[in-house]
Amino acid sequence: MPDLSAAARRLVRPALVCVALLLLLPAAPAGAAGTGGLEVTPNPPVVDGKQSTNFRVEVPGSGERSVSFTVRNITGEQRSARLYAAEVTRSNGNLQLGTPGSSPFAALPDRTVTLEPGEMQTSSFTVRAGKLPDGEVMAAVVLEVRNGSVVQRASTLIYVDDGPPVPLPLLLAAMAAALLLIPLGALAVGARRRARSAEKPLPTEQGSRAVEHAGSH
Amino acid sequence: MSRPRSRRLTVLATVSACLASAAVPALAGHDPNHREVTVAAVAGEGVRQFFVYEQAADTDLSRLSFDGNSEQPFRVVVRDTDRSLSGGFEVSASLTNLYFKNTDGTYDLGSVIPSRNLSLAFSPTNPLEATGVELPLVPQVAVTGQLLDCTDPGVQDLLGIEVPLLGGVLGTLTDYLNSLTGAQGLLCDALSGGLAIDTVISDTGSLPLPVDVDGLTDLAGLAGLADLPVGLLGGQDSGAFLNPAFVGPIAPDAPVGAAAATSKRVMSGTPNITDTLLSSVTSTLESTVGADLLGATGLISIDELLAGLADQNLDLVTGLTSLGGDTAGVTSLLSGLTAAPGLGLVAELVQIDSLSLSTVSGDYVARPVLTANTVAARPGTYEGTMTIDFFDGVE
Repeated sequence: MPDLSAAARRLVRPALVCVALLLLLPAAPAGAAGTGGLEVTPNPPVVDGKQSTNFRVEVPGSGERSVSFTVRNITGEQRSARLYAAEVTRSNGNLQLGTPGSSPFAALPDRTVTLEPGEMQTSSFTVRAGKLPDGEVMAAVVLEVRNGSVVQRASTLIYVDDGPPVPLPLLLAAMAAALLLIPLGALAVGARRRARSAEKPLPTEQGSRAVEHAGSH
Repeated sequence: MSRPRSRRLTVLATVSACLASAAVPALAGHDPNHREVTVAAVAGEGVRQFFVYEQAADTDLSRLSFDGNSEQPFRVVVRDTDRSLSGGFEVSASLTNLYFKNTDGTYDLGSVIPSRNLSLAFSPTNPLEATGVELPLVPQVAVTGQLLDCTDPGVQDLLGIEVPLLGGVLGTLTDYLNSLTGAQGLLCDALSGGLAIDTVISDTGSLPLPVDVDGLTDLAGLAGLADLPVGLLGGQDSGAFLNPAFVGPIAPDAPVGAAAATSKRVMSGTPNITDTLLSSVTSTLESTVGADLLGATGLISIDELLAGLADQNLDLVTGLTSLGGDTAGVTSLLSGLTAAPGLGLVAELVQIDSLSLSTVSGDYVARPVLTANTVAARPGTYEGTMTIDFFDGVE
């Protein structure tokens, strides 16, 4: 690497060592859950060194955001399941699953997913903006399998939290910066105009005489 | 510095910072006095699946068919396979009304057996089971001690050093040692003044915890299923399904104002690494591997021990290896060193801590019984839908 500075060269080796260390680290297990041979794994499967066994999402200030997960067939044969999101509440201490599409914050089109043996499919649900009610707000990504008179529903929980509030000092600083931009912008526009006018060619002497001549008639 | 170079530097610095921050959690918490020699990945693809089976076979339950006692027993199984020890689970059941089935296969929604006439119960003797619970472990052996110098008669015996006569006069041992060259000299140089050894050697292994099928554990000191790595909690809900659910193909839509369906808890589990569990696992490991921690049949091989010692002092290991000539010789020598009381090394199993446990495998089983009460109803076949809900990632 002949074009790198000494400082850059000093960084290359530690970076390579870091890569080697990461490759040597034990692979973290995924925290997948499911039923009927299909499972849902939050993406990324490891957060802060811990396996993700649920989703913890923040409601955006506006609009919506997408949260990714993987559906996988862990069996040796084709498997299908209904996939959707629903609200989860607590009643008498027990978790209760709402109907498909019942969550006001987590949305996932109700569909049937069919996967071949070992196949993985990346999907996502959206988290919508809105004011959260007091208390714990939950939803779930649900895999539903029906066997005759018995329905098995595997729900990977989604914990919905408020987004972090914008700190007041930061807000004030942002407003001050915006106000400062106005006079700065005006100054910049003025300077540009002056520069353009200075670049314009001056009228020639012959042209001036022609004007004077026309005026005398 | 040109712009491309500075940009490259920025990228490298960022990559380094990111990688370093990612590596820090894995390196944090190490005792600087201990050096781990071998750390291997024991975790794989972690899965938690749940099943609703018939009572006697691993066949999906698909029909609610009541026997002569008006009972329908079944099993709910939550199966962990190399599952991370984080996130709990809950399983609950709900039920629709049962609707009269016409001969043409349609249903008479006006002729029902209300769900409140059906109830859930659990076996009083065997409400919960845990079977095949296994904890992959990385057992560690701590080798500690103070090797004395070569003037110690015990060490001389072990090393086979005979003090010769120098010029017909009994020379001092130091004179002799100073005259030595090669492996013995190197070893005695390393040993002179004594050498503190404090190393921890890890080995990879999977320790199956023998948990029996009747809800009692074989792990010493564990009170019951609540003490398992994924503790199975009580609180199973018996009783009637007072309010029906409205799911399934027969009557999926709840009438306006319908109360929430009655939900009965079938089972719940939560990660549960207690001191009692850790002590019990350590005791089980000790009894499993026995006292022979070092050696060909022990938990740690001589090669691993040598590698561990090499991490602290290359000269000593070079000396030992050369002196022994072969593995058997080194083994014999180290056996002597570790066996001699007050002289050699001490090998001990390190107490299992929460960091040693990362994943678990096993089946958690509940055995509910759905019971139909006697009710005056139009004779015929009634059908409904039972829903078993499994929630994972419960905090």
